[in-house]
Amino acid sequence: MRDHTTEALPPDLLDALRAPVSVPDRDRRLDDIMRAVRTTRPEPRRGLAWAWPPSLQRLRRGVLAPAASAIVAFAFLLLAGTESLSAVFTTHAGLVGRLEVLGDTLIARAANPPTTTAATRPLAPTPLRDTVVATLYDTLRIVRLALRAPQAVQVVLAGAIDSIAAVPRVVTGGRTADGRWELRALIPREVALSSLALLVDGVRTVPLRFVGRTNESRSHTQRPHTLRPRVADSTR
Amino acid sequence: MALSDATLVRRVRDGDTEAFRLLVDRHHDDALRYATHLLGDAADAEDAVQETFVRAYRYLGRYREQDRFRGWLWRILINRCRTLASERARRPQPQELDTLAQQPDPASPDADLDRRLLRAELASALRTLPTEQREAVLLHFADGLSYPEMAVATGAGVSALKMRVHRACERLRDLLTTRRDSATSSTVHSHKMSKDRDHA
Repeated sequence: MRDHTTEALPPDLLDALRAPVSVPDRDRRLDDIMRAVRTTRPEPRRGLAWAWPPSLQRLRRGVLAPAASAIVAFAFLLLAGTESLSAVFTTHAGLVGRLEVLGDTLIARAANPPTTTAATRPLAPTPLRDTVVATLYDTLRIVRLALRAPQAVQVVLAGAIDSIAAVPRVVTGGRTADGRWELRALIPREVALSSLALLVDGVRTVPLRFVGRTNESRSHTQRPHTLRPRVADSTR
Repeated sequence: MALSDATLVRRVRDGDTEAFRLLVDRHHDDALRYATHLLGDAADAEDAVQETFVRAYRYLGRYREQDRFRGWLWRILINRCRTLASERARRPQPQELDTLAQQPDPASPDADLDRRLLRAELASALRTLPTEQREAVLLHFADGLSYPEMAVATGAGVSALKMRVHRACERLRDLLTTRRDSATSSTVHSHKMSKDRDHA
């Protein structure tokens, strides 16, 4: 087998390859570069955790990262498959809460417990609307549920959907400055009756009825829009 | 005594921006030669080199001291040249420039002409090589990088790089031999024509 490590070019060719390129007005060129450098903001230095030596870069990209993803996915599947699920989630509003699935019912709880009980404070929560915010593909949609409850400390979403175990899957939201509460839930876009409720300080319930609509291809099988409020177990 | 690259990098990281000028001064010419050979266009090469140094300064926080600064810088330069080459492929090709031509040497005009001709032939032959082979042959012969260093800089394996260098060498030798043969025959032909004219 031929050894390619001893490749060589004729000396005159090598000289031509190694010959410096003429740089007219070199100092001005360097000044231009330094002017551009001075206007650049350096990126902060990375910590040791990111300093992977080159020999381990391929291992990290090729093996460790996919393995870690697989472990996370497996753990998630393991949790999702259980009857009762309690998972930590982060909302867009910066709230951290706990998501609980009890059979068909899902309850999202804010991390901070209410500081006062509902019995000591009069409440007049008013449901504002339940709106379809976005449709994702043809199977899921995001609904926004809002109510006005300026004095409430905690508002959580509870819900049940026909034959669907883990819905709504994602709950995001929080309180706005004007006392409104907005929560967003991801629900399946199928022929199903989604019954969602907002629990105000864990005591009062504002039922928000939401009937699942069929998509265009299934419109002939659409159920009538019967609103069937269903209150979460904890409020009965 | 000249300060090492590592010392200068440490100074830059400590906030001494002017220490970066010494690094630019040290590596500018080699970087420009690589970019000019690879891109075949002086203006693009200057852009690539300037962008390389700016990026190197911006991302100096990612540089680890156990690496050679030059190898790390060349990795940025190679990526920048690849990006520019692909951008240029989408726009009309610039006219061929004798970018490797240098100031004439008044002491020996013939030797200087030969050198310039050879450089022009080399530039033209390099342009016919595939980019990967051009990269490999320039890094190995012009910049003197070892195969492991080239592997770090390009992201390709050592055996692949050896093969690219081997093929590039073969092709360069063939191309230059063909050109010289054709140049010789055309010279002989024109010489013969002028002799015929004189006889007539």
